Amino acid sequence: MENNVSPPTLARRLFEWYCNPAICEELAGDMEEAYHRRMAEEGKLKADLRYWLNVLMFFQPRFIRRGSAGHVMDMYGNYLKVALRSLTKQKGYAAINVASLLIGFAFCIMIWLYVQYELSFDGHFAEGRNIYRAWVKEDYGEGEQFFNTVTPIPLGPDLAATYPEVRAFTRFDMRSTVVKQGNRLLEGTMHFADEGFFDLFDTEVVSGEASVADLESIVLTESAAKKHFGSEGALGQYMTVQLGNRFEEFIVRGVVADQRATQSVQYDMLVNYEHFLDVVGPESRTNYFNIFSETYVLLQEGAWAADLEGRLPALVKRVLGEDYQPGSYVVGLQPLEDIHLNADIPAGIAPVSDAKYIYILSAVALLILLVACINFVTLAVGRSLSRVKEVGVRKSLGAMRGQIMSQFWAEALLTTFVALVAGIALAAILLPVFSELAGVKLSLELSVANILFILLLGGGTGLLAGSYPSLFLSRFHPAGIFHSGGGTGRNRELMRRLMVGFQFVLSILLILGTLTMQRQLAYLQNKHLGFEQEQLITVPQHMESKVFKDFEGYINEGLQRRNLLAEALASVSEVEVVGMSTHTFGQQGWTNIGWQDEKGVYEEITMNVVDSRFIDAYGIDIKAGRGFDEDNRAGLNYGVVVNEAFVKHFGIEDPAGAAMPRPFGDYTILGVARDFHYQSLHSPVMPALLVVSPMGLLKNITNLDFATNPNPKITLKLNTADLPATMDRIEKIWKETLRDQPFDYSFVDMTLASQYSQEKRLSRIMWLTTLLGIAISCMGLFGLVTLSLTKRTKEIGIRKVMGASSGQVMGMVYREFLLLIALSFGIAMPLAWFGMEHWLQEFAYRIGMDAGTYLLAGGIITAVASVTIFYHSWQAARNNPVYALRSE
Amino acid sequence: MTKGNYLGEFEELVLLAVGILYEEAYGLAITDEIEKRTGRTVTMSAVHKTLMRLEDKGFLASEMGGATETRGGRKKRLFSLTGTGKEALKHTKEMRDSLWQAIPKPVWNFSI
Repeated sequence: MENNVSPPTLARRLFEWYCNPAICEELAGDMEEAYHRRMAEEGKLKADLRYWLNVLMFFQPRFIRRGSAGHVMDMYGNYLKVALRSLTKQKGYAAINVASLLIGFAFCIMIWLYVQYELSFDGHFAEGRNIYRAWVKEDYGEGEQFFNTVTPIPLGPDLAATYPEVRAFTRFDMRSTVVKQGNRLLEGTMHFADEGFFDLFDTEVVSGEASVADLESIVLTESAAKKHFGSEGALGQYMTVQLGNRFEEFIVRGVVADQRATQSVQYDMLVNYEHFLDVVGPESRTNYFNIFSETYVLLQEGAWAADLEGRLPALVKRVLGEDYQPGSYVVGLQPLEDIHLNADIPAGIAPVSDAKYIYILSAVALLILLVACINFVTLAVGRSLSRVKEVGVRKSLGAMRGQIMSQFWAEALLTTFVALVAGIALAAILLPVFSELAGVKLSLELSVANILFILLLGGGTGLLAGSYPSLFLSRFHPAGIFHSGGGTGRNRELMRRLMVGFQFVLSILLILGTLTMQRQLAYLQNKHLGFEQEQLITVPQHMESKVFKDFEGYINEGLQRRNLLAEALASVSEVEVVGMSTHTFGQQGWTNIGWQDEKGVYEEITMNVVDSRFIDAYGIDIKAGRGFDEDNRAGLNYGVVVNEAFVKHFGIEDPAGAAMPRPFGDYTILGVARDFHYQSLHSPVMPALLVVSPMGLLKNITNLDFATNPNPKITLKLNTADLPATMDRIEKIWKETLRDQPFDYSFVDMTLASQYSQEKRLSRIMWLTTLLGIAISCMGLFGLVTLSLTKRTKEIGIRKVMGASSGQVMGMVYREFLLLIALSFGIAMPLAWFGMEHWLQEFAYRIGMDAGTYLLAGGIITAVASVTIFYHSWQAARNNPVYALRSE
Repeated sequence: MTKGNYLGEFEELVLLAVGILYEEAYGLAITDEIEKRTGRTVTMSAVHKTLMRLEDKGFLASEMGGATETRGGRKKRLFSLTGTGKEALKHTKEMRDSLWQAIPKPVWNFSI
């Protein structure tokens, strides 16, 4: 046994400090003996840990030193007793304090859960810290920059082959597909990944093994297995899935647990990535200018991503050969855990949240809690007159200032504790509602982080709320207190008003923010988009995915189906138009085509391949020239319809009938459409064209980017009063005509509305916040008015005796508070203007800030405050002055 | 001081361990003994708390014993059963036995 090793000094000292000396020796001896034995058996670390544990476990009343510690306990017991008494003596104040704190707590807890949810993305993978997603940035000068996290197909293998620190990689992509079950076709999404996928993204295996190493394997999640195979085991079963231009059979090799919602890489049916290569065609295997899938790499433990990034240009140089220009093509790596909240890097397959909203929400939650604390302080200061006497008595009896301070803090902590418990309960009750508002599923679990947060929240708030009364009231000198009635009244009054003013400012800010958000949302939803959106449905077609090999055939197949359907629907008078297009409205990302003009500047425009009826179906307004005409072959083959932005961008004068700019010389501009918003109103309308026969157009371009699947989509324009019946008829005819196509329709107006779901969620949360904020502020105001009037009871009594009417008395009270509101408004207005202007910058199309909103906000806060004040001032004014003056 | 002869389950274990260890019964040894014989994990603080309570109740007596090097030169408190302690143990055992006896035979005749 080594004698020079002894237990952790700090732990031993701690123990010897708190332990009752009468038993300290034997206990310390036992622990040290156990320590030496454990160290011999299990090493120093475990022995140290166990020793600490023992020291902590012995911290119990039975072993703790009497004397000073016991004395302290008695004293705190007394504080608590006094605190309880003072709380119950003034139930009204206590209720206001507890109520506003508990609302603040409930809100903070809910926001905390939401923030935690957002921060917890992708944190659960064993290798999470070593996983990176690749991005590529292409820069063609003149502001033409393309930044994507979907990457070239060969990038993953090239990275793995070139750099030894890349331990594994996977490419990841998805395509919507159809699963055949007997005669039934089921919609589904197929995901593709390389063998290495499960090395990166480990998952819980329910049965079989998680592996897509061979081409026949398919891995299902539990819900997917249930969907396709019901309760019988899916493992080892065959599954027929459409892949490219044929159906293929897969064997279910593994069933894995459903993924967490907080995971960026989501899949439910996963097969080997080779199948994706079949879909896109062989030329894409080596091309660095076509981008398709996400690429994830797993680096060696301890490898430095920045170092690897520094060496990536060498790889780019090698693979691009003579196309390489320094700085024009950059490959970089983004840490996995960064994906969900980094809005600076474009989203890949999974949507990205904006971290900014998390900061805003957290700040708002803390502000609400701060308002609750201010209520506490305001009321405490208000009551200070009576408490000051108590302080005087205590001091005269020999209480130290520290003791008085502790006493006020004990009171604050007690109130906080009660509010905290109630707040947790309220949060638990409100959480389902809040989850709905926030659009994520949250639950209040008993995790260490949650408990710690709640304890910190409660403790911090208690200390903060108690700080003013404690620091302020403990200062008085007993003699002074009894002499003059305590404190400087003017200062206290000013302090109170400042605090209420602050609350008003905050409430007005919240109201203004909410109103502006509502107005902007209403604007977005009501703005005319350049096309009709009512009574329109779109149905995607599932195509043999030869889009990259034979785009023309692909389009023609869609047209054939459209014709079949149109014929069959001819008898249904409720269907006005049957149109077809590769992209519809509300679908983010139409196809982009790019080329270099004669000056070498890279140009990019948006393209939608449509049929002759598309313009009719959406009621797009043709401002000059004409649209497509079924009988005009030349127009269909070599005509395009462009938008106003296109005309403006290329500076074409008299566009109708004009030739298209280089390199599309073969084509003619048939007409100009009024600008239609094919993207959400976050972005401005860019040059776009509609074309029926795209092949000639695509001849001279250098970049073709299908941002979303260009499978032909059928659009039906309806005119019906009985939508369900019409939908039933259409569905019946659809199923007879296009037997192999599921009728998976969506309403255009709903798809469009969903583009603003994040703003909508935020706006709903803001509503809730505003309500809570106003409620808390009003509670503070209520308490304050009560105090102020109680103090002035005699004054009011005298005024009345001297002949003042009830109205005059009420007016007097109102004037005081309205002035305060007006002042707060003056402070809040520029702040709100600044903040909302900043938020509105996000939209290319936006409302201005107008006086109406401010007036409305001012009206709301004045009305709410008036109601709060009314009750008291009315009572004060009506009371018989005799009661007020009798006590003297 | 006495709250009757009632013994809690853990108290009984501690008393028995003191008996087993005879002249070597001190906190750590008792803890080890209980862990060894029952296979459950016992914290030192729980054992010491119980020892103190049992001493308060008069079931145990103690005196300070010798110091050893491994304890950092600290003495240990050695416990021994008092008459009342022995009485309480015996009483508990008798009470158990009589309860066991009272269980009707058929209860044990489950299928073999």
